[in-house]
Amino acid sequence: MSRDTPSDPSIGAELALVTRGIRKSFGRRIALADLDLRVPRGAIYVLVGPNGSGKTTLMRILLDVVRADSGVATVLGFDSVKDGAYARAACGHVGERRFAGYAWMKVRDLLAFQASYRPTWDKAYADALTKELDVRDHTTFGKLSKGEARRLQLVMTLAHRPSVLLLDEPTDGLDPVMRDRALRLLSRHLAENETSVLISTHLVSEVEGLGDQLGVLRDGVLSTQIDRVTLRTTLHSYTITAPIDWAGVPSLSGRIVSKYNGIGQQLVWIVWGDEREVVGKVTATGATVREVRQLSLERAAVYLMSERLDFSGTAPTSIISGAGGGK
Amino acid sequence: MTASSTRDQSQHRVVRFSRAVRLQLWLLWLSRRPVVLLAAMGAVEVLRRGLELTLNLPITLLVFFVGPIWAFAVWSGEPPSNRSYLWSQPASRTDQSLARVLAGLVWLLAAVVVVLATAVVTGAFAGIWSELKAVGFGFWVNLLVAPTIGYLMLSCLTVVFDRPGWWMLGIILLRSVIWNPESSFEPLGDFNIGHALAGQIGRISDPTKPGSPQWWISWPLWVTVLWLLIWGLARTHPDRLRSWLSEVVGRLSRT
Repeated sequence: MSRDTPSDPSIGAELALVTRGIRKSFGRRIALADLDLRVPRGAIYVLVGPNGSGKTTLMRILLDVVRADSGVATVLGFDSVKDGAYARAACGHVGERRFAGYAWMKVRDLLAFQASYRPTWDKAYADALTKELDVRDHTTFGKLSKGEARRLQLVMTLAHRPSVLLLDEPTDGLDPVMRDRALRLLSRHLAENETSVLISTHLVSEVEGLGDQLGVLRDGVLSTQIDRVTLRTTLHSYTITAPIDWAGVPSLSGRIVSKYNGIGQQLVWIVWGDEREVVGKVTATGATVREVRQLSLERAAVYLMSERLDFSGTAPTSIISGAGGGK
Repeated sequence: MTASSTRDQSQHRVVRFSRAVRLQLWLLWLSRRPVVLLAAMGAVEVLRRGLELTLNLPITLLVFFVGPIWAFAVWSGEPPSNRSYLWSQPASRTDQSLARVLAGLVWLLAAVVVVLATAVVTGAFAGIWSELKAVGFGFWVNLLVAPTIGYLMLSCLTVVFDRPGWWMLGIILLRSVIWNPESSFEPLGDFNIGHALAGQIGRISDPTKPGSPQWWISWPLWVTVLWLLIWGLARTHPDRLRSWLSEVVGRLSRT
């Protein structure tokens, strides 16, 4: 281990997590293809994607648990491969696997073992979290249910107050009451600690109030990477009433994320772009825009995940405010 | 200095090798595997001859076999494909792997020393003190060297492969075919492969002549070479090794 300063401090100052051209294959299956991720410092980045789209692999590459075939990944400026230990020192990770530890270990021993690896371990905080999440510390880890194991993982991850949190489906397996409690606890933790978060989840509604960045991963490709403000101002749902034999809006080609039929003759289009410009282009073709609606993070994620997009360079596929991360 | 920057700096602190070794010693102790090892070795000795020191080959064979078996036990339930917990800790992966191997070796030698000490004490009470004094220093050292070499040899496989047992059998068979093809399948034919394996390992540390000048040169050399090999393998990411191996297999199948 060579140093305790980032290999690229300029990156670490602005961006918490960066990947450049990350490529990873498992046999013939390409898990990640030339992935360029940028998570600004202090941001809560919600990563969505269908199962098998590469979310877990990406997090494991950031920790160098999985080694990419090519490309560079950094955590707070520390190269995940060259300075892997330092990158991991900055991270707390809730992984996809049920047993993040040793199944034969007593829970209290596992917590003590974890604490001995982490200089910033806060014993009082760990005790409080254990109590709040109702984790039984006298039982064996392997005997915990899926939900209990996940709660223990959250304690192990948060108790050392890491600068970067990598959360892979953090509420998976939790019952509704515990899920609510865990999310409130996570929200409080983020309010009290300056933390950058990369969170992957299928339940975007859970992190609706937390997330300020959205990334959509499809088949190993980061098809969209955008901050929430830009998303709110540039992706809208348009309810359109169109005349018979309407030819559509050719000038919006490449910007339409989704189209479906509404009530009666109405069409609903999800379109990228300035609202006034889109409305102008639609009305110019003889159609009428009845309603324009902002999309929730969840609805936006669903549309962006489910459609195969061809933006032809017109849509903001990689916009992050203040991060200089334009693609 | 703000609380945040203090936290940032302390989070850049990583676990060094010496601390990793201590943690791995503790981890193995918590797993109770050293106790099981000690109990198993003691039980084998008691069942075999009663509480009495034996200075012949069987005890040497016992310590030969203990090393390789312990190499499996040290990584039990934690093949490279399932080491994400260990490897997501703030320590170098190479250090973590070497620390585990070293911690395992420490517990192994501790168990061997306890069994031997018990055997010596009970042997002395049984009235064979003169025999004990008659054997050379090299004999006693060899009882530690033999399991060490067996353990380190198998650790080369357990450090990097998910199925080290299959790799071990493959290497033994390949070695037999290359160096002694006419008799390579004899041990399988007469169900005596265990003895054949013991012979292979035995020849490396030359247990028949412990204490000879060649022996004093050969075993430190073997231990050094094996540690270097483990270090090299531990440095290699399993994903890299896997893609390298599949590339080699692909080239071989094409030719």
